Amino acid sequence: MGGAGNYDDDLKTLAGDTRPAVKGDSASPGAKIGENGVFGRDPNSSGGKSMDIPANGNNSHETLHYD
Amino acid sequence: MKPFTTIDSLADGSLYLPAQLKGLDSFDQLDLLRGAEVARCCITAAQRSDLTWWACLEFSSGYSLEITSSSTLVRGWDEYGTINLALAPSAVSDGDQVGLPELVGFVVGQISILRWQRDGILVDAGIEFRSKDGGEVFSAVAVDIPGAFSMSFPRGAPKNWQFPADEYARVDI
Repeated sequence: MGGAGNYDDDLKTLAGDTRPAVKGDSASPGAKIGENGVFGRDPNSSGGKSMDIPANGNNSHETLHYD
Repeated sequence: MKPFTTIDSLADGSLYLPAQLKGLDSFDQLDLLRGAEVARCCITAAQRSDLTWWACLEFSSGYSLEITSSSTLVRGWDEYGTINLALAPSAVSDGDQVGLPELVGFVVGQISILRWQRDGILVDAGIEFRSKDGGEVFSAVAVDIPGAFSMSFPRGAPKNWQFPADEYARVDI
């Protein structure tokens, strides 16, 4: 998916306070991960920003991309 | 390892997303593991073998193979997972780990890279070990979640791979 709103605002809303992901976290190295497992990638491999929301119940993992 | 791999343009216009290697100059050096017996297989505690961000195989020869994955955007928002392989001459101990008994005693025979190829894109998505007689298979393959991969063990079926299993080709080492 892509074209969502403001990355920083959305990450704060969905992840809360974040910290850098380290080896062993359920997130890509270099990502910022929240206590709930939501993580942001800034930059991602194309220089943009992405946010990943882990699977939860019937909802599958979702990635949001930002320009 | 970087969280994403390089994108190489091939002569035919295809895009190649290679595995990232550490402690190895090329895939050929994985041959060091042929005939080696797995002494320990572990992942990060609280993760699952079919959805993990880190794993390590320790061999009776003393070598260890650390497995991670990267995710790379290609053409817009399409992301592809690649495998990262780090070979070390000694065991890796890092953070909270849990041992998986399924692979202990497995002796490596054939080693292959599992490469996905479609629409002009080639992706080194995983690694596969076959036992000497070919009857048992271990694999670690990127899934559809950035940085994550799935491991399957002898007598187990591949699960969560990013693409259908029949779309992957084996590139033997």
